Amino acid sequence: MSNELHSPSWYRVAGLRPRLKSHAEVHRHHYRGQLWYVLQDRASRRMYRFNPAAWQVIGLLDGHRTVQDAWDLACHRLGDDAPTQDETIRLLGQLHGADLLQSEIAPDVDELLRRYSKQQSGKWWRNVRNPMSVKLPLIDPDRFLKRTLPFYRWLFSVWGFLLWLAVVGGGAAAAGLHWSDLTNNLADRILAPGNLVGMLVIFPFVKIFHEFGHACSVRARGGEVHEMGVMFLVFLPIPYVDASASSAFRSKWDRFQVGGAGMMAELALAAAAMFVWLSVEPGLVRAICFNVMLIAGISTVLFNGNPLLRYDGYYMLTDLVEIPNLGPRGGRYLGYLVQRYGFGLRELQPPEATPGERWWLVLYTIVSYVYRLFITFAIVTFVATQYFVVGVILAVWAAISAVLFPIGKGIAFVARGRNLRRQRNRAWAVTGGAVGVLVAAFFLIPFPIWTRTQGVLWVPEHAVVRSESEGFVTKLDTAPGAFVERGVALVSLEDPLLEPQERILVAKLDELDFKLRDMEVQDRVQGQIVRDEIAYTKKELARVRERLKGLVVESPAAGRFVVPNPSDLPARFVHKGEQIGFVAPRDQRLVRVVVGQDDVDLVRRRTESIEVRLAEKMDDTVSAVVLREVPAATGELPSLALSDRGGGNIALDPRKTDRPVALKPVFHFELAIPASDDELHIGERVYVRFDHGSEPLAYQTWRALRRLFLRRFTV
Amino acid sequence: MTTGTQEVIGYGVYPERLEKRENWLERTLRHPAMWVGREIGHGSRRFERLVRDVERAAPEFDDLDADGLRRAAMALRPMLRREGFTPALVARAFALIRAAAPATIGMRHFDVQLAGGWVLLNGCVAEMETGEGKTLTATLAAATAALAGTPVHVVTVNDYLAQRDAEEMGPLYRALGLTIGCVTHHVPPHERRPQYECDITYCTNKDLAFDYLRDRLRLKGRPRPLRHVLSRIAGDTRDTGLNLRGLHFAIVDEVDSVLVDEARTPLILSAETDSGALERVCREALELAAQLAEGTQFVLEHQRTHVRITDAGRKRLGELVAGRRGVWAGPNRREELVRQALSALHLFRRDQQYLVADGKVQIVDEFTGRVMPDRSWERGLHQMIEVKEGCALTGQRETLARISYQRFFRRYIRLAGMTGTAKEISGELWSVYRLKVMRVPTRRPVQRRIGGLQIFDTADDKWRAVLESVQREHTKGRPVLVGTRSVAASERLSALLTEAGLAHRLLNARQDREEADIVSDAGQPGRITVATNMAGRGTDIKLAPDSAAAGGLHVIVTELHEAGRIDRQLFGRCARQGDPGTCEVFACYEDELISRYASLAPDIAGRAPGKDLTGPALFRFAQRRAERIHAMIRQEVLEMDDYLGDLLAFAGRAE
Repeated sequence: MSNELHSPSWYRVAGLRPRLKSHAEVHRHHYRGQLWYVLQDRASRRMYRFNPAAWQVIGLLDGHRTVQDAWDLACHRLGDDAPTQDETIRLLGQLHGADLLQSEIAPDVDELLRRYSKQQSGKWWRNVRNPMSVKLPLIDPDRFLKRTLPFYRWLFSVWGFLLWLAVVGGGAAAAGLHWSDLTNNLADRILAPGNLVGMLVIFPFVKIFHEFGHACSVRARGGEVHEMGVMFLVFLPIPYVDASASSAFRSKWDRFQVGGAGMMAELALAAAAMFVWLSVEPGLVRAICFNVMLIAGISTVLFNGNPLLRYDGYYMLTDLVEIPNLGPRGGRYLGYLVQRYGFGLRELQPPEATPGERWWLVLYTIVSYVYRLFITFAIVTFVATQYFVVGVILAVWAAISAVLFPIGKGIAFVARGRNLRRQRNRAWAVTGGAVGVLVAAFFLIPFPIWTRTQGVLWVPEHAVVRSESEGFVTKLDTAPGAFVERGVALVSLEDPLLEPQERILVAKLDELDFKLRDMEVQDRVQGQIVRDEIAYTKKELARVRERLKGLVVESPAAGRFVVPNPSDLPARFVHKGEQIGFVAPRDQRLVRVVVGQDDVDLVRRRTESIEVRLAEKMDDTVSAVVLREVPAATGELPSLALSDRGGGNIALDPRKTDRPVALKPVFHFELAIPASDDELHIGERVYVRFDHGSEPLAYQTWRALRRLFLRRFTV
Repeated sequence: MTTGTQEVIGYGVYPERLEKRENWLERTLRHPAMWVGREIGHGSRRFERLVRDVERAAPEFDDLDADGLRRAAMALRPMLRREGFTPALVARAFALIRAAAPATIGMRHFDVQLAGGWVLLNGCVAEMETGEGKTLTATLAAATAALAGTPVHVVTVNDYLAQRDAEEMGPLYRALGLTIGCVTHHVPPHERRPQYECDITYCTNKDLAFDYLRDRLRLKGRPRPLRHVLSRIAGDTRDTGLNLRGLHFAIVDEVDSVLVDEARTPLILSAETDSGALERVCREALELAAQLAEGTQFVLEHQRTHVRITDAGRKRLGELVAGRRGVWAGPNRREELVRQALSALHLFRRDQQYLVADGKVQIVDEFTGRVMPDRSWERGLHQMIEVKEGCALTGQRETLARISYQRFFRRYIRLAGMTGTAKEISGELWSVYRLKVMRVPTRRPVQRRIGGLQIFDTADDKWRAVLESVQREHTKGRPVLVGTRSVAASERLSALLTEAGLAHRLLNARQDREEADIVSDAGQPGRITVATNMAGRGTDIKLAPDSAAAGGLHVIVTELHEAGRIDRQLFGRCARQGDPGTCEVFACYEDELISRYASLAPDIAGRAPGKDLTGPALFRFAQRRAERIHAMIRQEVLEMDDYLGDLLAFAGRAE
């Protein structure tokens, strides 16, 4: 409908004498500094918002004036700001559509019936599209709320708020003190089947508390609450209350508080549960308290308090920024932007919105849509990991309702939309172009793909400097950090017992020699015994001499001699076989990396480059090459630093308590990075990024899905 | 449909079809449904059986005298009323009507006309070649329905045709004991009711729709039939003052022109109010508009049907009106006025969209070239054009009620139609009016030869070729009819002919007896007639024997129209009822069809090598595009009507 001053349909309304029905109540509100009139239909509990110009016309319609008179008067008073005839007709039409208009003429009964059946079928369709949120009104709590008003009214005052602060603050403090008790093994405790049942039972009761928070808050501020019932969110019965009377409140803080009352009630409940939890022994009561805290404390903040979802937080946000109906208006405004600038409909009237509101509308719509997609995706994947089939069904349903349905609607609009007639070709071109770009981005444009993992700096066994004897370190023959050849003396030890022992053995050997010479003549049998003793002593001597020789530790390989703490070494006692230092290869450092089995195929087959960052020098990246890989999966870890207990990201198997074993098999890779002059900390954590080049998102998605399904069906 | 419909059409007080919205299933299925049983040709079983049944019933009536015929009709009436249109009864009725025809009107229905009558009675569109006797065909359906007690409206496109048909067919109806009325523009309001109370009423679409609107105004407080009945029961015996008895059965002649070409013309019942300050405002708006520059401050868009004021134009306008008060103070109001003024200056051109006659601006229907004297544009546009042309200002008219033909004819309980050209619009007739198009065969094979499309670069070349063609055929002694698209074009050609010393007659769509006489004389040997395409429509051009010998009527189409149908209607002027005849089509790249619907293309297609191939394709493309755009607009008007109906539901179901 065009927006010209004079309307060809004006004659049909000019002579009417309509007026508002008597059950409509008017409230003056200010939104973002502008005056609005809010019309409250107390029968249908709906709200309608009019700007002062529109209200001027409505206000003039008192059942005695004709529409023509009212419009003329409005034009006289408002000049160019007066609504055009088209706008006036639309306004009256909207009022009629809201059943708020009454006039001396019987309305078109056909239209009334058509509208009724459309509403009915619309309701039905909504339920089909969204079978998980069917509303069932049950009771009218107004009389109850009115009678009990004295009991709770004081809660909605400053003192009530302070009390609430005290309770919730105390609860939060207690929770902080017992944080580890509360969160120990949280996921397992929440998802245990028995606990899930418990939560399902408790959930509705907690939510009843929540809803009464809203209801009492409305009632305490003078609003009426006439509907309470149950809706089924994902088949779970959840109570709801109709608190729409609050939108008539003039102060935005009143409306804001009504929106927040539910959460406040829940948080108070959670705090109370915390205190009970502390004071009772483990058992059923404690388990219930734990669940109450979980639902009332965490879920309420995550879901109800989140303004990006259409729960309490959203309504609080709209009250706070004074943009009622933020979500739907945002959608309409985006639609306008697309049509105006994308499809080039110059004549299109922008939806009414102040410049400040526009930013809100655009940003909120985009962010909340993306967020809703994300949260749906997260829920679906979470459910899928627990109950695979249910998850897949949910995923299909979510894809249809959140993605396919809007797309279908958009295409239908481009194909058949009435106001696109003159620009349909352009609309198709723009839509096709946008879709083409997205498809191209998905299928053609390569996006980088990589695998991140962790490893440790590492030396091979043959490069470890070990003492072959035990003794006290006397001196370092080679300065740490120097380059050595193989066989060079590195460290000297001292064992004060060894040299005397050698001398004793030598002397003993001399003695036995004499004894043998003697015996050989006298007693051949005795002589044989002495001969054996000589052999034994010779061996003994050799062993001692070897140990003496081992007191000089030699370099096992060529390279740089590295000692972790060289100053600690002198006079230290070293056991045999103890590691003193390393002889690191001259030209490279080695890194031992573990890769999970999900990623190993990519790492093996299409690693294009590897980047390594050392934990100590996170800013520098060095490139690496794969030296070798252990072909088989293993549970062993090269260092405990890579396990989740050591600050890494590999989960350990909690059943193996004797030694650390990874829960899922891992693959080891040995990488080489260039040597550097810096001190080498063997065992230091390194962060490794395997770069696999780039690949269109389509393939990446396909691989991820395939992996998901393979894991589901082959394990 | 094969057995005829059993029910009798419309009982009760002021019956009319209630509007029904299609649901998506009906919308989806309507196209397949349309294709079922579209032919009623020679050799088809339906056709054979109908003719056989009629002939079997014929002996009963053939030898009856006037009295006997009347008695037979009286006997048939209660049967039809009781049993409805059963095949046997319809055959008997047709036989009776056919038997009564020769003695009363000197004609006898042919077999194909029986088929046509059957199609009409079943509420379909009979697609019959021009000259096959549509008027006579209509009598079968009209009389049969009237015998069954159903009031019948036979709708024609102009006063002359309504009157002529009523006069010519009257004796036949009267011989059957039926009363016949005729409503034309000249019948004063208080005399219309008796005419509508006749069994059969011949009328024009315009008068009919306006009379209906007047009735609606009277019925404002009682929009639904139940209310009438209740007030009757309650003893309200006042004269209702209504014209019609309801919308029972309409047979629409030239159904494509009424239901499609004129579909979106709003019929507005209005009362004049005094013009007062309007003239001054109009003058000021035109002065302001004249100071804006095309291209920078305003642009003409969408094939020159829309004016858009640019931001620069808005600024300029603000500067121009600085300091003025009243309507000029606010930007919205002044921009609308100036936009209207710009439309008046640039979109509406004299002798194309309107004529100035007797100091009055008269709207010309672009499609038909017909003048519509009582129409006026809305929202001050008419007055601005009056100011532009220096005419006296008519008062601004205040709308009392409005309806489009689309909505009006959809309210008939049963609707039927006849036309020569319904092929392209059968889909639309079905989807909008639930009218199925059925082809009725010609009695004799058609001997029309249509020459190919001849395309010229400039309009001058084209007119020269037209002149040559006229001369060539004229010297052969053949009658020539030249059809033009606009009054201006016909006058241009007339000047050329006068210059060439060719005597000719010029017709400018006035639609009266004189015009019809000229048209019916256009078949005389050597006669040259120049006419806008709709002139004298509905009148046969009867070939004189000498003309037929010289090769029959030669029709020259000087410009392709926005709908191929209208071209074919012109072709249909020649070679009627097996006569010989030829047609020629001339077009040029400067034609409006091209500049509007393929404005970029002529340089490419027209000047390129091989333009013999691309040229006709270009014209076909432009014509098809025009047809599509018009169909889309009509669809939109309909949707908009629905939307407005819902929006304005609080104002009652008025028009």
